[in-house]
Amino acid sequence: MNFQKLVKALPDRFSFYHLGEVELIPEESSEGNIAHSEDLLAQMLESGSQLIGLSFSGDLRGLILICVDKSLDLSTYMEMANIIASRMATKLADEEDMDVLISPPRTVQAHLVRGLIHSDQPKIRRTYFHQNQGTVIPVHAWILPVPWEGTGHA
Amino acid sequence: MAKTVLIVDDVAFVRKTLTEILTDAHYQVIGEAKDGVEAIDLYTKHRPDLVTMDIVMPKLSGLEAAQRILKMNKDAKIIVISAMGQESLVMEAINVGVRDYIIKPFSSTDVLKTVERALIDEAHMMNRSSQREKQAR
Repeated sequence: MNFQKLVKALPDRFSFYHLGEVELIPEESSEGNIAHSEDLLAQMLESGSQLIGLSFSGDLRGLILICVDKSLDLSTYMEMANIIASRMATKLADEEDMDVLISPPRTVQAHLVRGLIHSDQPKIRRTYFHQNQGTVIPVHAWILPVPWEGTGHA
Repeated sequence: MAKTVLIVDDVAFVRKTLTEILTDAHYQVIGEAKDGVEAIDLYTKHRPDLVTMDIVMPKLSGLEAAQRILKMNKDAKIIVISAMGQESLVMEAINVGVRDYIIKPFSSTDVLKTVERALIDEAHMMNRSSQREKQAR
């Protein structure tokens, strides 16, 4: 149920400052596409693509990973990752009454991610298209929810 | 004399975009901070007319930094510029004492209107208000 809430909470489309529009492309996600997701991420990491990560915590816990080509300005896409994650958190608060906090975006080393992507945890992969002045740039997003681990206070 | 602004955001792209908007509109950007700790240091050093403050940042959040700046100077003018748009967060920011709240991504029009509104001096507002009352009599 919460997994589906994360998918639904992703923003569909937004204007990105003076740099065009960002749109979520209709694409299959979750377990049905995992093998393809892992291949895609492996290819992107091997080609030196840049990886940006944000963690979310509170009523839902996990990681958002954004992967973009190495030729792109990292800071610009860190901000895009921030907006995607923050809009998701805002929608979860407004529509699901869920309290989700987002961490600041930061770069992530590829070797830290491989284990997560190949783990048995369910994952979501979606792609945004960033359209600016006739150019279309794919921005790949992975969401890795973490199951809540209750601490069990006495 | 140009009004001075301190820009606080952990992402360089946002700092650059805000600097360009404000400089083009003839404000003087006296500094850029990338976290709440730097924000307090630079505010203490420069005492800008206005601070633009992100919320989610490393080391110290924007709301905590705003609280500490307002404790230092209750008349400090701070506007929050954040991608987080939850009503609870907006209310928390207002309760802390910030002047306004802009949700990212912002347009230059949004920023400039909000900055202008925040910089209207309260004494000036009271003066204008009393002038209107005199004219009405």
